[in-house]
Amino acid sequence: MNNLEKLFPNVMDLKVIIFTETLATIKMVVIAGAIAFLIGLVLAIGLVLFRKKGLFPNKLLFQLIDSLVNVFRAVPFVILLVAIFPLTRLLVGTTLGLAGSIVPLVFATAPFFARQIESALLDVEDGLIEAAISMGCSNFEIVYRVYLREAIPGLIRAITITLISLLSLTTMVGAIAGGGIGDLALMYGLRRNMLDITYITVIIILAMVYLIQFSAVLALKKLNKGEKKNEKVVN
Amino acid sequence: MFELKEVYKSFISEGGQVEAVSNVCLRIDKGEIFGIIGSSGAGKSTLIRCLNLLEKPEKGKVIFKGHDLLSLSKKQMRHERKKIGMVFQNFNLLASRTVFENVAFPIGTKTKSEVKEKVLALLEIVGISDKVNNYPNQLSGGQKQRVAIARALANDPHVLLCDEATSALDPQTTASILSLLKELNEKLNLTIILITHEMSVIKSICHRVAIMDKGKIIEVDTVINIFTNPKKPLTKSFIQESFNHKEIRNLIDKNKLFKENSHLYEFIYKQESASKALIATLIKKYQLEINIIAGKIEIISGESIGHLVIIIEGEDKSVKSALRFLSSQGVLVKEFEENE
Repeated sequence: MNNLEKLFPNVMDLKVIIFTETLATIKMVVIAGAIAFLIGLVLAIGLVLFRKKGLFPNKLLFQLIDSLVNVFRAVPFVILLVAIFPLTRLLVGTTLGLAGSIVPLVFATAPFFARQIESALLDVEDGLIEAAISMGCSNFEIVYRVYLREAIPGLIRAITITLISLLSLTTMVGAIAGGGIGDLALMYGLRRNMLDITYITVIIILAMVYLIQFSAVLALKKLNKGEKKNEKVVN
Repeated sequence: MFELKEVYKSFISEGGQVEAVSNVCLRIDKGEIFGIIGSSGAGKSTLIRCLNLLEKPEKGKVIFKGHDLLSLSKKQMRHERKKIGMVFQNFNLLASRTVFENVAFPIGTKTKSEVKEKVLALLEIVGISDKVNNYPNQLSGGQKQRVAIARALANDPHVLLCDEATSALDPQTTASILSLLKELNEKLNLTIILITHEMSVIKSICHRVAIMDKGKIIEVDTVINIFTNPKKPLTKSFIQESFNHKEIRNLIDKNKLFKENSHLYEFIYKQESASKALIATLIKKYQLEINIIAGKIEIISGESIGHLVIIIEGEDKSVKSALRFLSSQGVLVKEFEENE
């Protein structure tokens, strides 16, 4: 115990703050991740359906979603964060704290999610879609029973990659007082030169990344059974 | 069952517009196994897709059991599609579902126990009951195609479309899938329409066959007529391939069997002619020298068809009268041809 205190003197003093900020990061990832997933899913389904060879080819809608996704993906996160301040204030009434960080995180993550999910959906072979059409399935059934169901392993991979990148974005929100582990590293680790706080944040983030990956591998394994081709390790 | 009227479908490709299906007219009767054969790019795949509107023809009519499919609403079309089963070259099974779930997939409004009963019955028919809970990638190609066939039959279709259903399978498995199709045709009176590039498939199960080339149907007839008397050059080359003309020609050339003054013929005859001692008659009565190069019996649509390749030496006059004699005995006599 003494050794530990010697190694991490400030960590022991600040353990309550560390705990609350870790929790704040987890909340950001879960809430922003869930909202971004839903938005990304809708956008991705749109991209897949409206594309030239899709079930409802529609050039206009496809290009609209496509460029929307590209624009938001192109803007660096710190700039996006600041740029949508007015919108954030309009939506949640503040630009600070958990609520203030969710909005920019969603804006940054949803397009990324959309691209990941799109590629997972496009991995579903055209032949399966054709077979479903030949069996008299409606378009809704094809999306729900074929695309989404067959893409589950791909979706899990998409979620893993996106959550990890979301996790790294949450640390940046700290820069504008959004809280979370990033905030901790900046406030104490950097400004007060508490090196051990910086290290503990690294450890916590690594633990979270590992946890996300581990759950994904577990989920894929459980799904696998007969599906050998999906046994690719995440990342 | 199906009637196609002036069906037309084209694609835009790099080289311009390609007429994949060009004004095809075709009638397919209930209960028959109808084959469509053509080389790759002949448009046969597009044609079979026009039957359930996976490809929408630009012009013409696709009439299925009296309805013009092109005039139906989306909802009505979905309903009709349930009556048209389809199997594919690469099976298209859902990888995340078990064999049972794959076969149950297209079954609509039914109770759980009804579905179970139906699926198990179908798996029994296609002979794969022991794999109910396996996933597709645990199965061999032939087993996958059996599951695909069971799935295609799940809504009791009137017709089964087979898009190169055996092309991804080895010869032995192909034979077993073909005999399954034949059995389904006989037991369930299921109309089957299949496309293939292999004459052996046509030969082993089809009743009638259409030969397709560059988007057009160039010849339609019963398989036995096509085999004994092909008319178009492409049809002939398919048949010659089936009778190994190329190998026979190589054999003749290699061993220098063909001498001046001799004639090379092929005889095609049905079972009844085979019982007579025709060759012996040729030798004795017409004083000809006969060298049998190759002989084969093919079972086509349940009939045995004999095929002989023969070099005849002798006087022109007696050769001629000998051939006349053979024709009178029901033997089809042709100069041996080998065209690419």
